[in-house]
Order: sequence, then C-alpha cells, then structure tokens
Amino acid sequence: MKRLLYLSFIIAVMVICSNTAMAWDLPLDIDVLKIYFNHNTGSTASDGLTIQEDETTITAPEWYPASSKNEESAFLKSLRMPTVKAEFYAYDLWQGYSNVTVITDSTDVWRLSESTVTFLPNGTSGEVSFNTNASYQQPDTVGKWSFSWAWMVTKIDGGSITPSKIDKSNHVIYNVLAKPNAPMDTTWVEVLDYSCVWTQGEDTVVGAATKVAEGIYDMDDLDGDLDWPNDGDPRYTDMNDYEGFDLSRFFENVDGSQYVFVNCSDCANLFNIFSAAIGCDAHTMRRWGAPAPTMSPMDEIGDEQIAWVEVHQWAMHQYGWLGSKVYDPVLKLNQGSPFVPCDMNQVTYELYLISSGSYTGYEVLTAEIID
Amino acid sequence: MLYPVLLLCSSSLAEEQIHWRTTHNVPQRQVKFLNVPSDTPYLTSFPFDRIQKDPAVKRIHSIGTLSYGNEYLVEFEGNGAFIDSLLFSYYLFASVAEAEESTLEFIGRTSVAMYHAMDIGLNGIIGDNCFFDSNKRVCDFIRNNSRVHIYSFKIHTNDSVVNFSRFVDEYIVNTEKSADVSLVPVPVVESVKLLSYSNEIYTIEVKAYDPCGKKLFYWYWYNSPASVRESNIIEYPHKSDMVRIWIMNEDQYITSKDIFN
Repeated sequence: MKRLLYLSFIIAVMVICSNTAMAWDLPLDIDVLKIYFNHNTGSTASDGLTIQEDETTITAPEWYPASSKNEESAFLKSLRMPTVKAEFYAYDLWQGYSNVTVITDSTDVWRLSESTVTFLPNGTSGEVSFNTNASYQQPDTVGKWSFSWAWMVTKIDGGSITPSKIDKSNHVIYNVLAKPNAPMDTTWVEVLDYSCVWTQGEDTVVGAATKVAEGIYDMDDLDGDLDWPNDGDPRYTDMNDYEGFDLSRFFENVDGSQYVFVNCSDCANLFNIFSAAIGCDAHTMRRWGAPAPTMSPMDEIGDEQIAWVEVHQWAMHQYGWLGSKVYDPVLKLNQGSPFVPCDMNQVTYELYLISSGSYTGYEVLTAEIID
Repeated sequence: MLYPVLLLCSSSLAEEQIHWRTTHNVPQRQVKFLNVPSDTPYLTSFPFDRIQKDPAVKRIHSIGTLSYGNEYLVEFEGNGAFIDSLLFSYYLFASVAEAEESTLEFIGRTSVAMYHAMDIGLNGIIGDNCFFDSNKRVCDFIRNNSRVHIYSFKIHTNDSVVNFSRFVDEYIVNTEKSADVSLVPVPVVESVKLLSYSNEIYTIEVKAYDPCGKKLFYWYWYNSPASVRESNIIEYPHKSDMVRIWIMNEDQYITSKDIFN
C-alpha cells in the first residue's frame, strides 16, 4: 500500500512538473514578417490580381513592414475564399516550441482560417498558406475595403491556448467585377481608388458602369468639380487617334488644381479606363457630322448651377460605349429630371441629345494610356 | 471626304480674297481664312506684360495644368462693373501661315463647331482672321503672326469673350512691329533626323535651340495638349505622307518643320 501511495505521489509530481513546462511565456515573441496576396502572378484562381501604383507593378509580398511596404491588393469579386501566404519569425524558440497554429481575427468581414506555422531552428518559417475562413468570406460585390487583421496564436506545438495576439496588419483591398480589360490590363491603384468607391456594393456590369459614369460627372478637383471648357478642346486625349489618354497628367491635375478641364473625348476615355479597370468590356464611340448638329439643352460637367439653356453645336462627340449602349459622363440630359445618360440605346440617346441635324460618321475606339 | 463645315455667307467676298485650309482630323473639314497682305509686319514680342497691367485686368495667373507654356485665368472687367473669369492663351509664330495652321489644328480637334467671324456678322472687329463658336464663348483669332485663344467656362455674361478678345487685339494692334522676321525670337530648328521605323512608328529626333535659351517643348500636328513633351525624340505613327513638327518655348513662341513632304 505504501508503495502504491509512493508511486501515486511520484506520478503527481511528474504531472505538476509537466504542466509547469507548458506554461509558456505569452504572448510569444513572434512577428509576421511578410504577407503575400498576389502570390501566383500566373493565375487569379486563388489569389490577387496583378496591379500597379505610380506606374510600377506591385509585387508580393504586399505587406512587408521591414521594407516600409504596405501595398494594396485586388481580387475578382467571384473569388470569395482567396488563399493568402505569410512568413513569420520567432524570437523566443528558447521556450522550447517548434510550431504554432495561427488565425486572423478581425472586426471586418474577411478572415483567414487557422494554419500551422513551423519554425526552423533559426526562427524563420518560410511561406505559410492560409485559406479564407468559410464563415468570413470576402464580399461578393465590387468595392474597396480597409481593414486590420489581428494575428492570433491558438495552439503551441498542438496544445490549445487562449488565443494570444502576436501581431497586427492593416490592409486595403479592392474587388472588381472581372479580369480588368485594356487599357487597364494591369490596373492602376489610382483608378481603383475611384472606380471601386463609386461602385461599392455593385455586382452587375450595368450597375457598376452606371456608377462609373455618374462618378466621373461628379468627380472632384480642388474646387470640387471637373469643368467643361467652352472651347471644347481636349486636355488629356491624344487627338491623333482619339484613344491615347494622359492619365498621369490627369491625376496630377485632379490632385493639384482647381482648373481641370475635360471635353467629351476626355470624359469618354475616362469612362473607358475607369470601367475597364473593374472588368467592364468598355470602349468609346466617336460620332461626327456636317453641318454640326445642334444639341438640346444640357447641363455639362462642372457647371455650378443647372442651366438648361446651354445650346451647343458640336461637330464631333465622343461618349462611353459598353454592351452597345451609351454611357456619357460629360453631360446631363433633361427628360423631366436631369440624368447622366447610362445604359441607353444609341438611337434614344441621340434623339434626346440632338435637337436638329444628325451625326453620320462613327467609329468605336478603345482608350490607350500614353505617357 | 471634305466637309465644308463653315457656313458660307461670304458671297460678297471674291474667292481671291480668301484661301482654304483643310483640317487633318477625321472628318476633314475645309476652313476658310481671309487673305492677309504678304508684307504683313511681324510682332516681335507679345504684349502680355502690358495687358496684365491694364486696370481692366483685375487678376491674371497661369492655371498650371498644361505640361508646357501657360494658360491664364483672367478676371476681366468688361462692360460696367461685372467681372468675368476667362481662360486666355497666346502664341507667336514666325509666319502668318503657321499661325493659321495652329488655329486650324484647334478647329480640327475641338468638338465645338467654329465659325469664321465673317459668317456670324463679326468680321473686321477682331484680328485678321477670327473664329467663334455659335454661343460666342470661344474666340480664336490671328493678328499678324500671333494667335490668341480665349474661352469661358461655367456661367458667364454675354459677350465677355468678345469684349476681352477685342481688348487683347487692340494691344496687339498697338504694339510695334517689324518687317524683319529674324527679329521674332522663335526656336531655331537645326535638324530633323529619322532614327528608326518599326511597327509603323517613326522615331524622329529634332535638334533645335531657343535664341533666348528658354526651355523647348515638342509635338506633332493635330495632337492635343496631352501630347506636348519636353523630349525632342518624337514617335510618330505613320498615317500621313506629311507631318508637321511643332517646337515651342516656354513663352509660347513657336516654330514648325514639315517632314515627309
């Protein structure tokens, strides 16, 4: 009996000692070093799109604080459960652990499910894949989101612990309708910052393109609006072909001037570019005729007050063209109430636009970015 | 196909009093200009300093949205005390023909239909040749070897563009001129060299200098302001047998060179 009691005592001591060894010094001293959103540039099936900012392609890792890097990323809206990769570094392996299980927590929509991070003796982890948490998928609409992830350790060497935060990362992501089209094959972040905000929550081509056209009409420069120049001269469109557009100069002026003038060709190409960036198969339609048709009263882009007395004679006109429908962000027509022409049949549009005369010539064009 | 866009109410003018130029953009249009005497003297500098000091000009500053030269916002006191904000730019050339070609390029690329002053009852009031839109919110005129471009934006009072155009024109008329074109300080073209041709793109190098050492800007015809560059290497997509290269200094004094002709 004494031997049995002695054995029980020894076992109890061993259990206590064992538990003491599992009492990790929390939080573990682990950093998230890098996060990769577009880790497979050859595919968009499970990760981000290739995008650019300041005319430079953004490469993964998009989040890399040691290099002062925190770039935006973009996804197809249909990709509800992207895979993200991350690298970690453990400074306290002396505690005796070799792997941890990590999840992201967030008050926002998108979260990652748990994945095991195994450390080499030198503290590095290599790239670790994280799947999206099925209960917290990415939104299925177009839009722009800013959010934070709290990186939490839930297990150490397989043993559960009370989730313990090891790091935090802040991100901006964009969702687009479909793979961006020319001239935004490699979409500009500067463009997504407008397109995805204007189209927040949209999930159809027509809905998104309408919001883009209306967004351009209401776009701000430093004095709160883009202005129609009464000389009708394009400022950003290359009139050699009506397709080239100086997008860098346009953004430079929008951010730094109160005198941003845009004519119909400029607005049409803006529509082409801003809707192509979110995956619309957009173009422009150029029309001309002689003698120049007389327009119906309209409210051109930028007027401080609606004045339905503007009557122009336009020898040429260019507007957005998508799905054989008109989107014209340079003006509002009035058919009982003012509206930016969107998703309109061309015949109806020109019936409303033109009071006398007609356009006879036409060509469908696709915007190009010039530098 | 050439469209005679400009209304011809000039039956009182004999054909020998006018000449026609054809825009380069599609659709090509024929634009008429009144002939000016071949001995028309040259403006050797644009009277911008005197214009901006006139009491009727309440405020004038470059809006700085172009990659080259200047476009000015002018607050001008027209009739009475009402002050209008207008946009104003000017250009000086070494020939009347270049000034006319420059106006022609604007008429060819703008969406607004432009009419010669003689067709809307304003001939002889402004410039040697003067063009307006149907609302008189744009005025593009040539006087001697200078070209002036004025337009409004937003809501404006009637005739403010006409009034300010006349005001500027009077300064040009009253500025001393010379019969010696060499006194017009436009950039000087030394050479134009074809560097390469591939994929239907001509790459052309223009060597030029400014007599006053000012910065130069380059473009080829019927390009918009978006296409003006500081680089003297011009890439030209071959769509025509002839192309005009423009070279402008930062004061908007311009020369040109035809190539491929």
